[in-house]
Amino acid sequence: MASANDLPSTCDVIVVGTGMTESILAAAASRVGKQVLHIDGNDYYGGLWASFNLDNLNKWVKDCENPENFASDPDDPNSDVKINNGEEFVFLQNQTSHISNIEVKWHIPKKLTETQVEQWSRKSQTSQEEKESSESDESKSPTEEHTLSRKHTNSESEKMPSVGFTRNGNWTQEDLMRDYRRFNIDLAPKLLFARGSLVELLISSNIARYTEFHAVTRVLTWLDGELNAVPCSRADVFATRHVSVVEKRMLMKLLTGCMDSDNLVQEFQGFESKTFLEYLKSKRLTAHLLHYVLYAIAMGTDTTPCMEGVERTQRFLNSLGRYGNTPFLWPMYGTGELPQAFCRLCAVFGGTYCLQHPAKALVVANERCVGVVSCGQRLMAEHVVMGIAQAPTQYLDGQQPSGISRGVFITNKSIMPSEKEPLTFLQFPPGPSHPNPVTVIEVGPSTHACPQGLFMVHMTCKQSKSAKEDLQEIASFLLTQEDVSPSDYDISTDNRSTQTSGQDPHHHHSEGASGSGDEAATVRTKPQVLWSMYFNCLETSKNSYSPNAPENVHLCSGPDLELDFEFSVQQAERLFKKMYPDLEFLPRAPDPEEIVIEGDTPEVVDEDGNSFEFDEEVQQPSS
Amino acid sequence: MAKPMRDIQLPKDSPSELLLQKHIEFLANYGTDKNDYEFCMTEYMRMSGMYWVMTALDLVGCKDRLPADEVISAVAKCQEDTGGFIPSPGHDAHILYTLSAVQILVMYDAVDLINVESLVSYVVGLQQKDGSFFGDKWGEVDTRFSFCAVACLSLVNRLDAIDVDKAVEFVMSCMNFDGGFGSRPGAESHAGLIYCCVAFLSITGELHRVDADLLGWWLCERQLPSGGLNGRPEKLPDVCYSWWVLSSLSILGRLHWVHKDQLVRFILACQDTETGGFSDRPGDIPDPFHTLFGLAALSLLGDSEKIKSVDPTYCMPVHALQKLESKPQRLYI
Amino acid sequence: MHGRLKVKTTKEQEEERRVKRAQKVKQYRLAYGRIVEKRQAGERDEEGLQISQQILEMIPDIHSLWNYRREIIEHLKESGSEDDLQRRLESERHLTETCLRANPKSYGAWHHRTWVMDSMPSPDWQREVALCTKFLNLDERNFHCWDYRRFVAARAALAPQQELSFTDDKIAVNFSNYSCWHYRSKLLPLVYPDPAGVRPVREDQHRHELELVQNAAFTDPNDQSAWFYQRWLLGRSQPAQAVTRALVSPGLCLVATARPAKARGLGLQLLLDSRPLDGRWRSADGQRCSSVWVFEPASPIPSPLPGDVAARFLDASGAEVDVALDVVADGSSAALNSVPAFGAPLSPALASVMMEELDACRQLLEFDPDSKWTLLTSVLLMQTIERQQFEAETVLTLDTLVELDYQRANYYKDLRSRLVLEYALERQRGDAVDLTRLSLTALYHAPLLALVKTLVLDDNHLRRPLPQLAALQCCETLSMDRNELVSLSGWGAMPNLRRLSLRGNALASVDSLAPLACCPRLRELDVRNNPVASVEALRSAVKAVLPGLGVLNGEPL
Repeated sequence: MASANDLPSTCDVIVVGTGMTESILAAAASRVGKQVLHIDGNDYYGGLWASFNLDNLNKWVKDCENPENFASDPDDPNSDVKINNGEEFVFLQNQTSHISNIEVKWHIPKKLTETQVEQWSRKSQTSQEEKESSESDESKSPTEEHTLSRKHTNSESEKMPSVGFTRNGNWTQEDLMRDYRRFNIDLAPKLLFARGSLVELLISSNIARYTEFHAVTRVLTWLDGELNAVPCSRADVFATRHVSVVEKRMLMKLLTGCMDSDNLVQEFQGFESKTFLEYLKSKRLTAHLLHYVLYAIAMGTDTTPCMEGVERTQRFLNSLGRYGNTPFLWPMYGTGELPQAFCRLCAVFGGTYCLQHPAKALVVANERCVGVVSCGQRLMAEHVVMGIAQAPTQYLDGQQPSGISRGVFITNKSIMPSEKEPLTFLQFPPGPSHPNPVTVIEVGPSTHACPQGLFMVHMTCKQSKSAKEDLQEIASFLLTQEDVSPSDYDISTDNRSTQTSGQDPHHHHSEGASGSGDEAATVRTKPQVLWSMYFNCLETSKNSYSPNAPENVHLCSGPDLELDFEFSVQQAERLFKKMYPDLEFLPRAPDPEEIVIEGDTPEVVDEDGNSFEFDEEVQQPSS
Repeated sequence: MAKPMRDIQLPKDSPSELLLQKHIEFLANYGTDKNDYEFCMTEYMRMSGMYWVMTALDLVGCKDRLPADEVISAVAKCQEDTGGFIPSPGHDAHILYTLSAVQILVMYDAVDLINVESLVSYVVGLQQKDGSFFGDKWGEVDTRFSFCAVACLSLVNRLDAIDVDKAVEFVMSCMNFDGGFGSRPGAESHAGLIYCCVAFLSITGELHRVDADLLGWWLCERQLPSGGLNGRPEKLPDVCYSWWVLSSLSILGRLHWVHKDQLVRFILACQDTETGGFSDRPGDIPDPFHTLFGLAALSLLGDSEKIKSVDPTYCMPVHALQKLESKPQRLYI
Repeated sequence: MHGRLKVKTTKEQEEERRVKRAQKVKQYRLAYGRIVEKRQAGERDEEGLQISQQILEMIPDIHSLWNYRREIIEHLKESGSEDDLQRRLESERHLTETCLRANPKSYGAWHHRTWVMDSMPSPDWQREVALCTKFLNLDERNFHCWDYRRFVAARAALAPQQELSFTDDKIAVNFSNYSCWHYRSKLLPLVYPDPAGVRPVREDQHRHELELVQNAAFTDPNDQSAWFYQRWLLGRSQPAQAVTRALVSPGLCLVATARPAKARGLGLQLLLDSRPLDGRWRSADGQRCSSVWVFEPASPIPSPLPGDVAARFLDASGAEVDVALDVVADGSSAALNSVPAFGAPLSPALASVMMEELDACRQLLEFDPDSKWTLLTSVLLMQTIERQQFEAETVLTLDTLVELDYQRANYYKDLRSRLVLEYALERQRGDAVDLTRLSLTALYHAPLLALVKTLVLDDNHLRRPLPQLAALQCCETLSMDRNELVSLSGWGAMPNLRRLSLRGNALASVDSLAPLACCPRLRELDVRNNPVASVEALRSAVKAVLPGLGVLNGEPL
């Protein structure tokens, strides 16, 4: 990491902001021998693509709520930096302006009072009569829910509460905050298609060795008010008992048909202007299969045009069979790792990094940017790359960007527990109350998203109202999200059990009782939300940049709505080609043993906590 | 989604003519650089290497490119007092190299240099109660060794020295649900071992114990769209299986169940146009092993008049087996 | 200025590799030379272990080095404690693991590991099971590892049931795992033997396995593993040994059997009034193992024959089985010429399973009419269930297969030839059999033709040598007009053949006719419409190779 006075005052490219596209561009420029200076006003990498631990997330939330405190630079650029005749300052924006409707909430007490501890332990030893009376109760408190379900399924456990009992019932804010470092909460959770352009880029550029992934273990869908595992791989189709052999053939045939490039034209003749749904119906798929293909595999809606549905299906299937049983990878430690991996490559090839180094203004003359003002210094470069969130408003096309609604939930168990820790992708189909599909990603402790015993659920959809309004209903389908004011915890448990709103009685069955291995068919208790966050973020991938921007200033979009990183990779490549039409975009970087060091040892960004171990669960992409 | 068949695509510029002269040079020059890495690293199986080179040269009518006297005396010297042959000085005797040595000496019509009595007692000594054969005294059991044993003995017309019935029973106990054979009871079918067992049964005259239609079907299903043959389902094609699959089919009288022209095209595509020699697949490094099996397969396919006819049981030129008292059995349909 | 990176050129890399290899050769020579010295000097010590280890880590297939290590260990065992031995063998086990990681297909390393484990005072077999599981995760088809796993399972006395559930897991991950299906075929009969002995496994499990296969077939009908496995499940037993044809007459006595066998194992006898005839058996084709045996009686066959003529043979269990021959009215000969039984009868339960499988195939064919595996399986099912009912469909399906899977066209043609011939032989079993225009490419079931006097094989596609004609011991007239014969080399000897018509074949030279010399009674030969017919001085040339011939191409010689 360079200190402020080390900064080269002249270089080839200045990159402002460490978001995804910016970082890829920085690496690409550095890789072909350009001198890159990469600065970010934050004290972390990634900008709106960052992953935070619980403590840093709280700081970020505070910053967003009070943008005036955020990364404030007391220096007036005019005071130190001189400008020449014909030059002018163009001031940059604060990126938190892209975040709105932020709402963070705890759903568990700060800590357990002594009476509560006592009451819980007493409660776990209640007599038979008490149990029956509480069962007949219409309403139960969410924190009690598990206690009750335990009682009527397993009398043995009443005498000796299991670890699960304690955990499920007794999480406190203190517990979570004690482990705050063990959280990696993503602002822009995304999956990688195993054969998507980012994975290919990571491999071809040899950046893969800075990264580690977990394969998503399952694809779920919401069908008839229940979670269903979608048989999406060949092995799944073979093994599933939820569809008949004839359906297996139908499904495989349909999917294979979408992949058969030789007969594509013939197969889809007449459907060019129809919807994918119409095509699927013409194939006489059963209702289940139709749902699987349209909503889960193609991730489409009833109005998805046929050929788009086919393309989406192809993209899904093309990525199967490379790593794990689904087409998706999830980065260990969160998506915030990915911009960092590119930054690392940039640094290896000589890029200079400087965090907590906000850019305040551009110096513009004759429609060219001739300087970047940062920390009282005027920095010079041929090209300036910048995240759109910081771009001066006059450079934007003035078109109001659309928005993304996000919800993040820390829960006490998986939405559908399984033998091995699951990593779930679920595309919630649109419904009457939610016109847009909702992308749900659930990650567990082995991805370092959260400590043992917890899960983290990310929900994303196109914004129509506020994030909370957009996502609340879906959240309630999957999770128990009771708003309990902290003061409630002072009331005796008996009272509360009659006060809070009730749960569907069949949700009280313990998942342990099913044991059939038949995940989808069992009725189960929903996970309890311990902490939640909603926010909206601008979706700038569709925006174009007005010709007002100097030609050597290159603006990069923020996180987009799509599931993967396709957009960023393509945007980075497009901008790179604009900057350096004759140079190769991220050619393969040599392996360490192929490297001959000339001169000084390169400065490598040193990140802590990143292990490069390879075990069977963890996937490191390789060609 | 559907699993694509594992196969290769023949490169467009693959050779389609037999590069005979190049192969002769490749074979004749093999091992002239004693410090060659590959040559050095294969010292432990030199006898088999010599068998591959010399059989291949014999098949293309260029046996005289090797110094016969030198080869004969070097091979003969490798017979130990126990009767077994060592692969090269400093290495231990093994039935694999014993067969290679006997084959070489038969091809040079120099059987008189073999101490037949001790050879016979060596082979007899390796037979176990269950009829199986050890490869050497260290107890590895494999149907490859059963083949080596009966091939060795039949080449010196002494098959009667072992318990043939027991030996047959053991080989039959290695037969599988698909009609093929594995290396030992319970082991999966594999074209190389099927060749060993089918050739074994042809030497012992027990071919009728094979379900030839079932096994022949399995064998012809080894042919992939590229024309090449693999050794087991879902594996890549390899020139050496052209021999093992084809010789087995030939013994079973079902050679015509594979598509001849496509197989020839595949084998020819595995020639190295620069150095000569055949490799396992197009573009790989050639070696004498694949060169022999490529040439021998072409011989069975009758593709080139330039290659002499090969015996599918012994993988030796037919003309070298004239003195055999009992001809190996063949099936036909 | 920060350091810049330079990527090495491939030339530099190549040179580096060359130098490295030259070094390795040198190292190897040096080290191996030392080993040879030590062995000659009878030194069996730590140094030997150390040097051989270095080489083996580079080349794990040098059997002599593994041998040397075993010699050393056995030698050191004499002076060390059991703990020493255990430790030493554990480090030996570790070495094999290192070698196998580098080369998981090293015969030498795998075998050494079996030796190590068998020599170990306290072997940890569970650890070995885990190792196998790990290696099979890396390569699910490594047959060395599967073999080692079976060795370990036997030593650890793992219940076959346990191993069976291991194969369940592997198949769930990827059902295109032939190794796994193979293992199942070995385990199932142990875990679920069929008390009735009709199926390869017990009925309920048999159904389960068929379901598994069906799942695989409907998921991916192009996957061959499951189809091979299904073929085994559906059973395709070789016919039981039986006498299918027999003749006792003053001129010729013979017996044809359902399967080839050696005379010794077959125990053939001809019985007149339950008394065995004295004489000698020889195979019709001169092979040690044959399905047509000619009896050469020590004394002439009595004429007329008694009413009780039988043939005796030993069945698979070694029991004597007698088959009665029909004696003709005048007692001049006795023969067995019954309707041949192709395909064994099915129990109703099994028949219904087969019918379900056939229905599934048909369902599958609605989706994928071109699935060759499904088509072939349906042929086999039709043949097993009710041959007569499916004759036309069988032939039609095989014709489709010839087109679809052209690489194996000849396989399907031969299969069709066999089945078509079976239908024909069920209908015709007199002295004269007409097999004209059946698209025959192969001549199966020749022993069933042992009693035929006139055989017509016109307008077929026979082309390859026909040693099986030796079965036609009674044949006097054979017509094979318009086939594709190029040569008659390898033709079996037909002792009674008098007239042979080979019009319209591809016989090119007089030499190609020479093998007919093995038919001593041949008088008339017709080779019109063959290239050979236009050979100059044909008649004299033919006369030279076949001196007994009286008529050529319809004209006396």
